[in-house]
Amino acid sequence: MVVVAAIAIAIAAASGAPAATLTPAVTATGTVLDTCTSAVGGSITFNIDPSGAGAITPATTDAGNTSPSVKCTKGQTHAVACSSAHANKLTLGNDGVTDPIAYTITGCATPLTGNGFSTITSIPVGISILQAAYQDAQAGAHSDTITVTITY
Amino acid sequence: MKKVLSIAFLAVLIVAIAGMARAATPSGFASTTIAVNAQITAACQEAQHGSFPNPLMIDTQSATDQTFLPSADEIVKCTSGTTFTIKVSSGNGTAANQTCTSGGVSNMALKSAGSPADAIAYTFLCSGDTDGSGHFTGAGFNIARALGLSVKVPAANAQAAVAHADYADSVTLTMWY
Repeated sequence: MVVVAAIAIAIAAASGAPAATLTPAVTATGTVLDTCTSAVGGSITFNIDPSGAGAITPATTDAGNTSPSVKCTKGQTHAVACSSAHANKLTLGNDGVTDPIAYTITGCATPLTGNGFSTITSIPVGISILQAAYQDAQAGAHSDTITVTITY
Repeated sequence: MKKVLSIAFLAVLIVAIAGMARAATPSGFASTTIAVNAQITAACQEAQHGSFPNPLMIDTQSATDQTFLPSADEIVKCTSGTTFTIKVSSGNGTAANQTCTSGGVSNMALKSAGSPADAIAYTFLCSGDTDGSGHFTGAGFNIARALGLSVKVPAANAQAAVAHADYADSVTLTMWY
């Protein structure tokens, strides 16, 4: 608007006579979409000593593990939900049946706020396994898959 | 001009309403996965230390073998399903890291402290083995397993023993898993 006004004054000076001015307004409206993309998976890998005591609480933020991440519109808050492939149970061979070890997912309920698309937003997730759940477990690799869903 | 401005206003209003609708209703979702991998390690621990009555009262006139049960059996806990064995060594005998079975380990010896030349050979047994060949199976750390220890003195060895009150042996049990 300031530029338009300055041009009008210049025209008046050159012509030496007043002239009608025309200052058309153009409204430019851009809507930034609230969206998320580029979701990347994470991992939690750990050992369980069944002779140990107390709960075990590994997390994606532990050394050697990786947190899942996503890129979302900056400043927007999004709900995060987690679901287990095998009803929150680690099983031998990840078959969902053999020697199940029950666990709970922690930290997943925390909403995330987007950092824009130049910066990833990490989603820290942990699990908790009670002693009663692992003390009678068989030796070997027990696995499960947690799906993390970000709603926007 | 007035018409144009009205259209512009209407367009802005529509955009604003559309924005409100987007904020109220999620328009999509992104998802990814976390692979969770836990390795359960094989482990064992002693839950109760084994011991035998002191002294063992050996009847030198008995015509049959004499079996002595422990005052406290050796009790262990191991990872569920883990197979383990018990190796036995005798402090006074020649048995060294022999697999303990329900059939017993020979070359064990009780020796008199005051008269070391006097010894009584005996057999050390682990009757709790799963298959009779010295294999035990862990039941997890919520369930303890007794090894079923006992000492057997053959009748002939008892009958030949010299009377002393200080026969002893030190038995070392080692768990292998």
